[in-house]
Amino acid sequence: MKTLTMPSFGADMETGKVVEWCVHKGDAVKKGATVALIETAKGLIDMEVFEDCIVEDFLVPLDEEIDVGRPILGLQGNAETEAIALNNIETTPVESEQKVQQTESMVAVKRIEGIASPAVRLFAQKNQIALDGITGTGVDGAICLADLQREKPEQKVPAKAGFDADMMRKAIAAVVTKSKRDIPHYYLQLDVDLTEAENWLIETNAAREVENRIMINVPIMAAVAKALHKNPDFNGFYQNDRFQHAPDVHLGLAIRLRNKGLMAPAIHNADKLSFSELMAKFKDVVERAKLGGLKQSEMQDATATLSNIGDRGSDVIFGVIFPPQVAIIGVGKVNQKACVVQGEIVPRTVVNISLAADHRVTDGQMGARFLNDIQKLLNKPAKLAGGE
Amino acid sequence: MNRNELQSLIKTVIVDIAPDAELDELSPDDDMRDELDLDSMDFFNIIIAVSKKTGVNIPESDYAQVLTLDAMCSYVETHR
Repeated sequence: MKTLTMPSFGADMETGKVVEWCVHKGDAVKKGATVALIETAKGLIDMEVFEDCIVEDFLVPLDEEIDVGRPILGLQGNAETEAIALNNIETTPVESEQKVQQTESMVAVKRIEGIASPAVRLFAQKNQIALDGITGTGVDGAICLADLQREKPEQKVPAKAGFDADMMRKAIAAVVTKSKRDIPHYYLQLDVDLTEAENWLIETNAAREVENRIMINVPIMAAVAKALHKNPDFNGFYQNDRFQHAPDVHLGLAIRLRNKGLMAPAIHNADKLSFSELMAKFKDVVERAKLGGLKQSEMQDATATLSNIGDRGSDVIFGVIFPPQVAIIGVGKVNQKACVVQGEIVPRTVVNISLAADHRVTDGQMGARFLNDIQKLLNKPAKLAGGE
Repeated sequence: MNRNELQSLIKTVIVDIAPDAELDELSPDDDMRDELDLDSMDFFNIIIAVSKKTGVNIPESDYAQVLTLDAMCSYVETHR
């Protein structure tokens, strides 16, 4: 029997609670399926499986604090048994002839399509809302909490279930302390001219319905993600005294929650997304960070992080790297400034972009090149947009 | 729709998007983003909802004209 263990969403996390099983014993579940809803200091997280398997047993009770690493769900299945099981969806568990060793927490990166997250199903169940017939507005048609609100406008979405502001504060404190203790940060900043990207967006957005408009955050995200791809020494993890490049760019977005928390879920393969795709992912991940329903993979996979302080009115932010990542990119307030262009003083739209990077992995000159690559990418918004 | 009804509609939109926003502390001439601690995504969602509910398109170039409750009401009244 394979087991899923209580996952860790950071070095600071010691325990978590299973608050809902999203599967039944004997279910054949596909790669990417959500199997449990885990309550942590960072809110409710959807736990996924990374390969097709069959649910054999629940190894822990609901609503009890479980140590990270303790087995919580028994699974079985290999390539042969999966093929059989998936052709007989409601079948009982199929014995695998091959003994499979226990594995670490199995994490998937694929988001299951066209469904509601456990947080949504929990809310629907508690409020007796039928999900059938509700049109989802999330990514790939997934039903979001906002969709339920629309169906039942008199009912409020719950304040983040499982959220404990004190616990979240402690979790953040542990991460930043570790970061500042272990990582020799260096800092760079560059005033980046956003005028070309802004003009391009205004023109593009004028032809779009209001809900399909693209926010100025999106070209910045796209440029950072593509610059990370081009400068792989800022994209990866420093563990066991060595740096390892990440093969893909999963851009973490530092999202401040109104109740004083902070989360940094990842947008997977952000460097390969068009502006429209990136905007849809951005909306989706921000909504789920605030209302619940983030996935385990989103919480663990970020290869570098983007922190935007501009909404709060600060011109500059120098971030604290999320270990084991090696870089955090900060975005300040978008301002109009008087700039000299070809000998003339002209108004330009400018944003300060900063880099805090791990000096064990890169040096300032590499960082400067990385920041300048972001500027160059933003100078050509049509190309950056991915053919839109 | 008179000014009071319009204000009420906008406040309902804000509460839908930011359920814990403290509207009692919002003056009509306050910048909603600062006073209610709205981020750019919240504000974008408010623009979408107000545009949909009033039928008034608020183009991106006019966002700076709708930052307060009063200003948003005036904008909608003028462009309806």
